[in-house]
Amino acid sequence: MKVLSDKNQTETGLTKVGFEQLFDAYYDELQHFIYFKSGDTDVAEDIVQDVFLKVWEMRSTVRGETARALLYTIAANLFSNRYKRMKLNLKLQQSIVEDRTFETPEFEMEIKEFDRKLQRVISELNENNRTVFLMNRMDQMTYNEIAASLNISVKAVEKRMKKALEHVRKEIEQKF
Amino acid sequence: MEKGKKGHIDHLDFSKAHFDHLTTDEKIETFVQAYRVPQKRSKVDALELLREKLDKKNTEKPTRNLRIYWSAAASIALIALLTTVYFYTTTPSHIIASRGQHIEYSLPDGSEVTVNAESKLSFSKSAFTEKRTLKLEGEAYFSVRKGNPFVVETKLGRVEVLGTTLNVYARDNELSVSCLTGKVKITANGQTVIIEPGEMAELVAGTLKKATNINPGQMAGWRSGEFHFDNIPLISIFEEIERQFNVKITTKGLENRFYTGGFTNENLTEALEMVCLPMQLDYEIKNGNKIRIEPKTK
Repeated sequence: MKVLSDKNQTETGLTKVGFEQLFDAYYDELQHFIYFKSGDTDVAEDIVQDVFLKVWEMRSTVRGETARALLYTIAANLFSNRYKRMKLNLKLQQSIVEDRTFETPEFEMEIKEFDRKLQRVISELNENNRTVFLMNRMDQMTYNEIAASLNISVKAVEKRMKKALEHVRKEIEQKF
Repeated sequence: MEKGKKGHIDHLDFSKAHFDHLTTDEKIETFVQAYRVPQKRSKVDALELLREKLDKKNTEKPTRNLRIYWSAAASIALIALLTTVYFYTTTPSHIIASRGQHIEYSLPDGSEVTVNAESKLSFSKSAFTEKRTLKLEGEAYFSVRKGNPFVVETKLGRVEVLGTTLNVYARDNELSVSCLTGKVKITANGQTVIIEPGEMAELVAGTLKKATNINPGQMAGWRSGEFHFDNIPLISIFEEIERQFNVKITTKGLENRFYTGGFTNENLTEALEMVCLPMQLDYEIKNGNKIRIEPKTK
C-alpha cells in the first residue's frame, strides 16, 4: 500500500501532511499491535503517541517505502523497554455477543464461556505468536504485510501462525 | 486502515444447531474475526493529542537535527539504540508493579508514592505539574506535597487530596481510602465524604461509608511488608498473598469465610501458616509457586 503521495515526501523526508497521512493510515493497526502484546489499552495508546512523536523528530530521514516497518520497530522497542514484566489479560470486545439475542439463556452462557476461554488461551500464547496470529486473523493483514512490518521472513510468520493455531486448537478442545 | 471489516458476522447464522455443527477451527476463526480491540480514545482524539504535544515541543525547544547520524548509518540497529536512549531520557507515565514487587517513585511535583504489587499508576508526565491527576488500578500509598488539587481517579470513584498522606485501595469492585494525615475527599457514585486522620471511606454495595477509629498504621502496613485484615473474606487474603509472592493459589470451600489477622511478606510458608493455622486450613505447595488450600479434613 502506498500511503505517502510523492508531493508529501520531499528529498529531505516527511512534510506535516505526509506525517498526518502516516498517522491516519497506521494508527489503528499500531494500537492493535501493542494491545496484542500488552492487553492494556492505556499502554497501547501511550506507546503509539510516543511512536509518532519519535517519527516526527526524525522526519527528515523517513522514507515512504520503509515507514510502516519503522513504525513497528519503534513501537516494539518502546514496548519491550518499558513493559517487559507485564501480566497479560486480553479483554477484547466480542461483537458476536453484543446486541444479539440467543435462543436460550443456556446457549448464551455457552457462547460467553467459549469466548472467555478463547481469550484466556490467546492470552497464554507467547507474545510473538499471539501478535502474528491476531494481526492476521483480526486485522486481516496478509503474511507478506506482517513479515514486512515486523522485519521477519514470511516463513517465520507461517511458523508463528502454525504454532499459535495448534496451541489454541489443542487448548480449546481440551477445555471443552 | 479499515479493511472491509467483519460486517458479515452480524448476518451469520447464530443458532445453536449451527454453532454445534462448526469444527473447533471454524469456531475459533469466527470468534477471533469478530474481536475488536478496545480503544479509549478515538483516532481523531489521538491525533489532536499528538498535535498538542508537538506544538508544545516546538515552543519548548527546536527539534534536534539527527541527520548527521543518519547519513552515517540509517540502520535498524540505530533505530533500536535511539529508542533505548529515548526511553532512558523520558519519565515513564505508567508505573507498573508486578507481583512480588513494590515500587517507590517520586512524582514530578515532588510527591512520593509507593505502588503495591500488581498495581498500575498512570499519569501524564507533561501535564502533571499543572494538573495533578493520576489513575490507579490496585493499591498505592501517597505522600502528597502541598499545592494545587491532587486527584487519584479509580474505576469506582475519585479521591481528592486536601492534605498529605493517604492509602488508596481500588481493586475489582472494592474501593477503600484511609487517611493518615491531612484531609481527603472521596467522590463515588455521586456521593462525597471527607475523611480525616484515623478515618476510612469504603464503597460498600454502591454506598460510600465512613468508618472511624481506624488504625492508620495498619492500613498502610503493606509498605513495610505487614498486611492486616479486619474481618475480610478469606479469598481476598489469598489474593493478596498471590500478589505479594507471585504465586497461584486455588482454594476450595472457603466461600463466606472471613479472617481477622495478618501476614508478613518475607516468607511464603510463614505467611501461609499465619493464615491457615488459625483458620484450620491445609495447604500444599507444588513446584514452588502453585498452592492448593482447603479446609482440614477430620
